[in-house]
Amino acid sequence: MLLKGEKLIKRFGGLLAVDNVDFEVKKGEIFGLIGPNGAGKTTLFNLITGVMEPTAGSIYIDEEEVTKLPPYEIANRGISRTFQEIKLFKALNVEENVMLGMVSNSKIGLLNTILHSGTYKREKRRIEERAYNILEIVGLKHRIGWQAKNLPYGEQRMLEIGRALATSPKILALDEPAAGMNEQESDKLLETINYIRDKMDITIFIIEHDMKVIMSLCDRIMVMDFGQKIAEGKPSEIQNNPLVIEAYLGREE
Amino acid sequence: MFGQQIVNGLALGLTYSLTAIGFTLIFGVLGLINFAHGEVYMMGAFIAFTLVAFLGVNYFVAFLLAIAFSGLMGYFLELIAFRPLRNAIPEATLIATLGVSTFLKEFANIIWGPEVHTINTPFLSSSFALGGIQISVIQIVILIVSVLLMWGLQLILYKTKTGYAIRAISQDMGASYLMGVNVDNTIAMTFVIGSALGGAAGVLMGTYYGAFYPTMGYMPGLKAFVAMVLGGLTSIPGAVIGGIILGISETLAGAYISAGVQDAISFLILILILLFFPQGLSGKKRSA
Amino acid sequence: MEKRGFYLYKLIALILLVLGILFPLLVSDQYVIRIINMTFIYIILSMSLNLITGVTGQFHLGHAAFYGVGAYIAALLSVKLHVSFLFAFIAGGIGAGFIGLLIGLPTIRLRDIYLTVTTLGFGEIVRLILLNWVSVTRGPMGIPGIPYPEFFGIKIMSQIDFYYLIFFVLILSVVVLFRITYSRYGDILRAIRENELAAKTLGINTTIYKVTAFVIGALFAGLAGALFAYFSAYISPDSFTFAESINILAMVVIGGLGSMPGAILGAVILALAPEAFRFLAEYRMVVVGLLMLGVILWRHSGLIGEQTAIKFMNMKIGGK
Ligand SMILES: Nc1ncnc2c1ncn2[C@@H]1O[C@H](COP(=O)(O)OP(=O)(O)OP(=O)(O)O)[C@@H](O)[C@H]1O
Ligand SMILES: [Mg+2]
Repeated sequence: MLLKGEKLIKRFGGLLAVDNVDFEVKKGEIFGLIGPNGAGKTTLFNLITGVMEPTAGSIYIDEEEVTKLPPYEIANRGISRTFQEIKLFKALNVEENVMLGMVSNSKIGLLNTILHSGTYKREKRRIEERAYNILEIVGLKHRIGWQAKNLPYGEQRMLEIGRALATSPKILALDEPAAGMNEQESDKLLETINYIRDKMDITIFIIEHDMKVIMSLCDRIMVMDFGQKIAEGKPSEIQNNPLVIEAYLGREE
Repeated sequence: MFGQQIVNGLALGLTYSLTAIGFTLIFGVLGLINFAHGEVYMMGAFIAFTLVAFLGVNYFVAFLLAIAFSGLMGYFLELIAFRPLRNAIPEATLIATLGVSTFLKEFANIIWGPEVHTINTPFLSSSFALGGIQISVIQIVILIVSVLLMWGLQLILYKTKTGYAIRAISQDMGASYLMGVNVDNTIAMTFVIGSALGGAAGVLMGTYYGAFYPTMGYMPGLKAFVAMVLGGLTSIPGAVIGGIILGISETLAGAYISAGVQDAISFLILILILLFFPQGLSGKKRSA
Repeated sequence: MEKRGFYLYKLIALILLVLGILFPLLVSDQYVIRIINMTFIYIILSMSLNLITGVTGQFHLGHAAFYGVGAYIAALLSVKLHVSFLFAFIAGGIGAGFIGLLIGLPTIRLRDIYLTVTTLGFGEIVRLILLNWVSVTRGPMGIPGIPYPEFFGIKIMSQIDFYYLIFFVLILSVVVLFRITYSRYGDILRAIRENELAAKTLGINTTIYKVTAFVIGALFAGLAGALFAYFSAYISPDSFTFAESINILAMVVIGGLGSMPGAILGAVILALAPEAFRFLAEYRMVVVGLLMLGVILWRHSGLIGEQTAIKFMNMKIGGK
């Protein structure tokens, strides 16, 4: 099992944002997480990426417990994520944003930087080449040299994916990547996600409201409502699950 | 001895509180630090000094005029150094206020000279003993005036439209704007009120220590900034308590440890408290 | 792909280098050279603060403390223990770096204004220690009689000797800080400034980088302090006040936060302004105050903002 959460609880004052959730993500799959607004999806992502500490419960990556590790330690164990509210390095260039994903596994240290050593030059070239590669994959090569904040919204989302990919993760966690994208952009997104899983061998954990994206993409889906996990299964099973239908319909009048 | 230090510390602390309130009001509304606040304090003090020493104006009349003048300075300060930079990075405003601060200090240097001035107020500096503690009239004046000013501030904040607007903007500037609050005027009024209190503190301190000089606002300005942070940035009672804590601990440190520690103690307290309470003593939410 | 040609900034740097070497031959006025020496020291200070505050985004109001610690360590070592110049100079930098570590550590817990006020508090405490630890620092009387620097058989005595010594350290500082600022390493620091959480989720241990920025900045400020001590032969706590911290910060902000050419230009302007306005006699600091206000109202992000500097750095001449 690549990623596992056990009896995860996150409490904000009186609110149980994540309420005793168990889940497993298998290597190589695309695992979807859906649920109405405020269900606790983003909070669950915050827990598994170390952005927040769970009130109770445990998290395992590759059977290793990572529950209380700081976010950068968890990232170095193979989870990388994007954010529902875009968190790019706005003043930096497109390619710099991507290269920053490679920092933690690069050999460029302070001393090499100051001395402009051979290692520095080699690493610099390697990082740049890989960044161009990744920009090709997410379709942003034409934006090289642009400041991140000047990209159109949909491309900012793609850039965040590229930056996360640059860390060479085992699992890529995407928080509503299609939000704010037009039809054409979300088609490109689908294609990219499939490419990442199939060609780069990276497991995907995705939160998404766009049902078309979720249903066509995911191998398995988990549904949350009011912090609790209410269902899990194949897309076809989820579509016909009465609990899920109620959770969505119950609030959409 | 101990009681005496507490009385002296309270008088000192109250002037820090008055100065800190000005910082706090402005921080509450704009989330910015006004580094010219200490110079408003100094200018207020010098206006009162000039009126009393050169024009023979009655001390209390001069005091009121100095407060009014400081308020006016606050208005222009906002107009010149804050309003044009409202959409710029905070550092830009900081440098603008530093520019104003340098200007005012040098201006005072030219007009009044770098030396220390005093005003002769035999009545204010006379003192009486109360249960073994020497209390001077100016200490009583500081107490009464501070309480009156803080009470007046509460009236303004909670009983007037301007006060309502100031509180609204402190909560959420965008929403206040949409709700029809005149943001520009309210921010200007915040500076007027905060600066008036700062000027009042300057006059009281100048009289208390018998010392008016161009850099007199520098240390109290820093201390008031510390008091504001200790009090949780946007809380007025917090700033008052922060100021009093600083005043009393300084006098105690000066009396029982050494004069050298006296100035350092505020900063030591600050660092110790922030290590344990990274958001100040009564801080709830962070606005910067 | 990369355009061919020669970077414009390298050409300008080369011209400045040549000018710098020839300067004392062109201008022999001792007074002018003295002012230039002081300006060079301010450039080191402002570039080092720029790394902490401009690039990494840690708003720091106590830079004069690093400067002062470097100066006092060098002065005390050479006056009291007769330690040689090179050793005292390096010790000044390392000692200040250590203080930088102490001031940088709160960045783990504190942010925004709480961090700012803590740096201010630390700075004041350092100054008050210098002022009150009379048995070691002689308090307000300061330390006179700092000897002339001597190394490898060279003795630095005249203003021109000092000029070349300080110029050499300046170039060293420019090269090191330039390489840090404009590299992947600098990008990491900027990323932390832009969005610390995102940086963490990319596997970056942001604490280490923030503290390191403080240490490097402090180290160079300490070296500048040591130079200042030898150069002026006398130091006292008056040179390392909060006002001095603010003065250095003003250089960085007026030049453009995050921009090294900006930090250099800002230091040149603010170090020279009081001299340039000397004819105004007692009005000159009034004008300096107005100048600060005017520049920042005119250009909110400084004379050479971060982005402008980066664009400039990518400009090439020749080729196509
Ligand atoms: N830092 C926080 N402090 C307090 N409450 C929080 C915090 N973060 C989230 N919450 C609350 O926890 C609940 C779950 O929020 P969460 O963001 O996880 O929902 P979500 O499923 O991602 O919703 P959406 O689809 O709108 O993104 C909500 O009620 C939210 O208000
Ligand atoms: Mg969410």
